[in-house]
Amino acid sequence: MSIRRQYSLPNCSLIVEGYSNEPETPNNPRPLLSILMNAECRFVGINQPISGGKVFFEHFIKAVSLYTQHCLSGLSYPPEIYGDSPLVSLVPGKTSYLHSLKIKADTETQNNALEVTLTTVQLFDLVEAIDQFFADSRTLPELCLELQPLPRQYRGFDEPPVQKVAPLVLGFTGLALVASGFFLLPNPKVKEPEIAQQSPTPSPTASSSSSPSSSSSSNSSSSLASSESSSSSSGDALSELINNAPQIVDPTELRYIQRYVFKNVNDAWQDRGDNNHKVSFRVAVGKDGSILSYEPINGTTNSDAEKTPLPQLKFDDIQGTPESIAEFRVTFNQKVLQVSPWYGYQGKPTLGERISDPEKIAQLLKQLQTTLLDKKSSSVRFSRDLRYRVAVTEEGAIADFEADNRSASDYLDQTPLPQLAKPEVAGIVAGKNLVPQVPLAQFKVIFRSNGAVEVSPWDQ
Amino acid sequence: MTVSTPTPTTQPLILQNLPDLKLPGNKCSLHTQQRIDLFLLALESLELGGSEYMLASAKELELQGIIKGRLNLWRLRCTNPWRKAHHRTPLTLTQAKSLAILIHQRAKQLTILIRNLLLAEQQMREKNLPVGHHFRLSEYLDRFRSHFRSRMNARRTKVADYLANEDELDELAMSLLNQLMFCSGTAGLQRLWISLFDGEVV
Repeated sequence: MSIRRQYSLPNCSLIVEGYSNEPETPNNPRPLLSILMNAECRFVGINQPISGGKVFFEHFIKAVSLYTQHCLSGLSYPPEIYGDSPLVSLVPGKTSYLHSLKIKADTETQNNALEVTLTTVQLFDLVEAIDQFFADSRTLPELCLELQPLPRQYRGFDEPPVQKVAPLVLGFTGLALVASGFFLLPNPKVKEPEIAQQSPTPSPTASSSSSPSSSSSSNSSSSLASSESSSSSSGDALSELINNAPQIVDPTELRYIQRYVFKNVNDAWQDRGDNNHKVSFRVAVGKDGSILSYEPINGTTNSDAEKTPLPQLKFDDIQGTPESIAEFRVTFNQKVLQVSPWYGYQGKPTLGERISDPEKIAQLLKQLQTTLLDKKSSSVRFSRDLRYRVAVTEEGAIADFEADNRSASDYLDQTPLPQLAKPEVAGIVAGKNLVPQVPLAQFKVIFRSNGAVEVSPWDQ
Repeated sequence: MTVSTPTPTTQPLILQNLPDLKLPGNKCSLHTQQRIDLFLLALESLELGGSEYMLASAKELELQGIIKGRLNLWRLRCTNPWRKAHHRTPLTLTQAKSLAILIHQRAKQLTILIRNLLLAEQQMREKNLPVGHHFRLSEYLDRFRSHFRSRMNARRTKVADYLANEDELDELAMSLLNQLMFCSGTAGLQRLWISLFDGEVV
């Protein structure tokens, strides 16, 4: 007796016809269909049914099942998974919602080649029919749903290893090329620094001149030739004397002389309105600070020189060869005076001999503080702190002081320092000697805008 | 309208129906976790209050031991690497199975709606009209886009691409819907479970 089983879905019907090889039992409502005669699949709206025997049916259900898994996961199932020369194939159609079912022409099943386009809903109905068949244990029970996940090697969404490694290789190659390029470049030559180039910080008010002065000292050798030709204000005999005199090179002495020259020229330079450009001179100064000669340099004219205080400061009565001279570059830069050694500093200038006994220093500190507080004016007319370096002898007399910030030099007359200072106590005599002859204690003195006076040891 | 067909079964039995698979490191991959969350997202977008129905289904299936509640479900779903609140603890196989069962159950309950939406999509595409112009489809797509935008980390390149191109996001939503159809059948749970590990097993 033939058995017919039908699995019907709205869009698709699957009909399986066959026989049972079980002995017939009258009360068995659902005999086991164990031998397949024909399987047929009909789609609503498609005239041609698809049918075939067991072999065809097995190919058919396998193709549909695997293709459904492909739809679910998005991964393509490679042909080898479908088996050798399948009679049925399902492939994606022209668009994402169409699927192409292809039947190969087969003499056994007497099928002609057929291609059917299914929508997703039709495909689902087909799969559902097949799954219902699989679930039916009374129809060809040996054919059941067997699903295996696709192994890792068919992943597909991994980048191929070449593409993964390519950027890394490219990066290393690029690095290697650049590194070899740098390797081929010559090593930069190391220049030994020349001592003569060294120019430490002069007093803060002239600090803006430190850069042009350091460059001037390096230009000294080149400007020597030009300055000789432009020499005009000194007589030939005088210039010969000066040129023969030994240079003062001791940085400490040079510094004291520089400060002295600066102070003198600055104080004498009253009329600053005339110059609207930079005028520079090479000035020879004696050990005692007197200006012996000056030469205009860098395009400075004699008429420019007339506008500076140099002519009146020049010491005219020179007898014999000066003991030693120091040469400075003096620049009247619009309203600012700049003084720096012509040959620069060959070493670090010190402040001369210093008192080092801590007890003595503490005692002198107190003394200085008391003196300054006593003598300072009661009214304070400056808004910024005024900082000074103050040098004091062993007896407590103020021998030397120097402004340490801009406000200090501007408001010097607001402090008692100018009246209190007695440089001769330390052997500093203008016209004779500018370097202290006795040890001095150096202090930092700050006149605060609130009237306070702070004294502390100078730590430079 | 949803057709509720509660199937009270004991928890272990349901899970035993699904085979344990040989995975590298014996844990779910990021890709699997992402697929699960996206399916749940699509299901949520099919109707208002979708997340509530999901929790109700979990209860019906007696999966509360694994999907303990709203917060726990959210944490399980945040194994999706695209999520803003993504965390690195992977899903256990038991948790993945429970979520797969949940997806299958919900898809089954919504099978008529899914079918109708896919038929509508078919019609729109045959007429060469944008899918979003169909009012029921546009509801689904709007909800999907809104959920996606609010939950996914825009700093990820792929997410940023989707957020920048609404059409591509709509295509993603529709492809998920098509796949959900296959999850709703007689063997939908098995097919879903196996498909989650395509390209993952050693």
